[in-house]
Amino acid sequence: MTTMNPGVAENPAPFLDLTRSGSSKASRVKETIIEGILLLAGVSSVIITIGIVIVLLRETIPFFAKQVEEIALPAMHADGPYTVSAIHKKPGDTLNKRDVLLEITAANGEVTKVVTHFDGVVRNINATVGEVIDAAKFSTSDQIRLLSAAEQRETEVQARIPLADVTWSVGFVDFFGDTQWTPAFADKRFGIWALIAGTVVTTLVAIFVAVPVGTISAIWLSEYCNASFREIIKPILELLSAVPTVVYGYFALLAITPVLQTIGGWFGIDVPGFNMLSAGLVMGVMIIPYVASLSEDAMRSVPMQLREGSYAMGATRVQTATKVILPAAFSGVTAAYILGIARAIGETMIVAIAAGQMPNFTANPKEGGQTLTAFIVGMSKGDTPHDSLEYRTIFVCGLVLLIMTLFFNVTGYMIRKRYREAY
Amino acid sequence: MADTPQQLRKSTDAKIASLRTLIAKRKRFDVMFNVLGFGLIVLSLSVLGALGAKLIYDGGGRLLETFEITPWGLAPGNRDVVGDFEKAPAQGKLPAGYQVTPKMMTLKTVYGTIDPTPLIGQRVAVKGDITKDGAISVDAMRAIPDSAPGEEISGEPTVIGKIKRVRPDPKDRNLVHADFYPEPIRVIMPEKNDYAADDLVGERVAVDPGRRGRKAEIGVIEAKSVTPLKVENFLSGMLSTNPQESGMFPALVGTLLVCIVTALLTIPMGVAAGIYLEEYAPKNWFTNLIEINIANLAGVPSIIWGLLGLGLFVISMGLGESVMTAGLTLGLLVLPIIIIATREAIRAIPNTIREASIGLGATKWQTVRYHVLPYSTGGILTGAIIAMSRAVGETAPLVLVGAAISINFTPFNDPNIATQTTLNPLSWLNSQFTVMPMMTYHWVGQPEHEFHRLAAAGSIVLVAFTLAMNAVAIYLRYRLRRNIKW
Repeated sequence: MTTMNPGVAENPAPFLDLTRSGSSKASRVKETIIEGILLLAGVSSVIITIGIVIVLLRETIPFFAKQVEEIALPAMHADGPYTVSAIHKKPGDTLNKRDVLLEITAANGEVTKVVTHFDGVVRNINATVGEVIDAAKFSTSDQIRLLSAAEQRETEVQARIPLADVTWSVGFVDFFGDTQWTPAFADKRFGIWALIAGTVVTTLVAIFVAVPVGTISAIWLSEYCNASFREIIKPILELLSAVPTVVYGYFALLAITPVLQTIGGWFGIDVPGFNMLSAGLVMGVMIIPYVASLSEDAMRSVPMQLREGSYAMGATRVQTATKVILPAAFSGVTAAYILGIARAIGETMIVAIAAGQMPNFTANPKEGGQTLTAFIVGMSKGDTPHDSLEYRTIFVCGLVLLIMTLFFNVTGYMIRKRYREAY
Repeated sequence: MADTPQQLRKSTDAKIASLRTLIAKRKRFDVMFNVLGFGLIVLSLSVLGALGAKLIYDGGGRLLETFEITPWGLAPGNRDVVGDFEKAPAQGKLPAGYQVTPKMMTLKTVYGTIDPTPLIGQRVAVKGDITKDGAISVDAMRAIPDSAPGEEISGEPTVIGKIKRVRPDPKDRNLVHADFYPEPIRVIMPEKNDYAADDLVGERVAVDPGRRGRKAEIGVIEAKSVTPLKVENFLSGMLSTNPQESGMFPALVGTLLVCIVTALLTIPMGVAAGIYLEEYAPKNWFTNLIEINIANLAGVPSIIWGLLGLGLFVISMGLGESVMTAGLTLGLLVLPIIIIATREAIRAIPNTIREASIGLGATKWQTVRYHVLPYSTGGILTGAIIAMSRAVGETAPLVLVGAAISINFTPFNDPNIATQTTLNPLSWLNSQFTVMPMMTYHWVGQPEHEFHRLAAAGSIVLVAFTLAMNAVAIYLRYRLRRNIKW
């Protein structure tokens, strides 16, 4: 009894003594502290959100900022000093990608051409090497010593001697106006559409699977199935989304793709080993429970009177379901679709394993491609230095991904909230 | 002109008939839809079945297979003779010593060069390269008398035994295979061996015959080293770059440790947040903001949590690629799930309980502590289990925060922090780690089929973990629904 009513247990006196305020004051302090702790836990989610945004922006802003790169002198095998000159360029000119930039002439007349791949403005190009080293910030006595060609030949050191600073930046035009995404290549291109295309294609394939199957399953569960069977089948169906996605990735790559290749073979279509179709199909299966479960909830919350009215008019169950229930539960069903889309956009492992790792601006699901998520995983698997541009790209892609999913999630949430108030 | 009764009847019959067909058609359509709906659900579930079948077909064998490795985690090398180590009595001019008895070996010969067929049933001495799978690629072979070993030839090892059966190679028609049952091989122990010969008696060992070209007697190995072997399986073995002898023990331990950190961090925090939102929070814009925010966090892709973990824990806070980082990252990932589950569990408790408690003079916290929390424990537990099953299967965030793919230690014996282990019982938190889904991902990406078998075996373990957890959660939820009647 005392354990059930601790409030009473603390005051064993038969009458509540309001004058003894000491204990109640202490308990009030305790209450306040507890409430404070709980508030902190509640607010934590907001802090986490702010943390996500800060982390993503912290790397995204330098990504679009001006990049300063040094053009290095390759290891030379002739005697110095060298004369460096830009071909067809003068200081202040803008360089194009894959431009032959520098011509380095040694004292014995041997000419080496340095190919660079930077966008940017040429500074301090026409100079001898010695002069450039003086101007460069990293010049050390060691590097200057390497100028001796004879020594260089002995040690065979690929000396990285700064020659000139080239500034360039990834503009929004490069980012949104290009369809090539090659941040790890020598010829760097940052057209985000290549990755967005992969994301959209795989998501569309998944939606083509999940929406019809999910909706019809939801109708069946809500209108046809009896309650006890539903209690059994619904949790089993939800297991589909409990399977770890890396396992689905395995299944897509090693079970679905061979099947697609066999089927493609019958029609003379060559299906590559990595394709977005198999990834999308499996992803669709994975999100069926999301669509079915949420749609079914929405359909079941349609009042019984609407169903009864429809049956009284002589409608069959199909007619009731499609002409009465589905429109009445429209907003809930739409929310289910949208949340399914958001889920498909954010899915990582299936596409990273089964769709390949080559960015591909295409609408053909038969081809391989790379999604935003697959790029992030693929890039971070390697050993990218933490302050390089390649490293920042993963945060930029993360931000784009977050914005895309946030848009769908907020829309879905709003629609769901509205429909909840309808009945 | 009025219809005759016959005409009237005829037209009514026709109407009834057309109505009947219409009704039948409607009914048929209704039944068809019923079958379609049920069929689609069965179809979706059959994908689950196909997935399970594929995994078991590919990896079930690998899960049960055992393999032998040396104490330092390597497979017996090429040319090593693997077998049971025993004491051997004196025999002929050989004094008492030790011997090793290999299991049945396969002799591989090229068709037309050395023909094992005439030697079936005879005692033969075989010279050749022993390959890793225990086969001998035969260089020379001849029948010898049933006397004790003693003849000296060059080139070792030489194995004596009987050929029982000759069969063609199933893949290459130019090769002939023969089942060869070796006799015990005398082992002359090296002067220096890491393991004393007497300690090895009765164990499986790998005998390294040393370099080729040394003189030796038939059926005798002058060993360079004798190493005991231990039998491992997929669950107990260490990770290896050789798929034949790789297990996933470090990943198994890593997953469990990461999950423990995640659970300890996220369950108290998530439950506290849920209690605040349901019991304490005033209805204002800020509470509304938190609610929308949590709903959104639940929909944030897992990879974004990986980016957060990378940017915040690995780089800004300097926790490195450790168990702690992984636990924190996954903790944040599953936090919304636990908050939402807690809120739902608390919301199901009728207000009358709270009112009764407050009416008896209990404070708000006392009400929560002694009524709300105990009654919602089942629901919260269900949510926590679901959240943990999600954490077990997550791959992408852990790739980002740096789960390793080739570590040969568990966080408890990380060589990089080994010195601290005795001083600090929590040093494993700073250890490098790997987890089951990470290894599965790594193995799927390898081109060789043997790695795919590993990936399938890893997937089976992973699926078993998550499905078992989900099954417990489903059962708990089912029990709760049946038992609690307010």
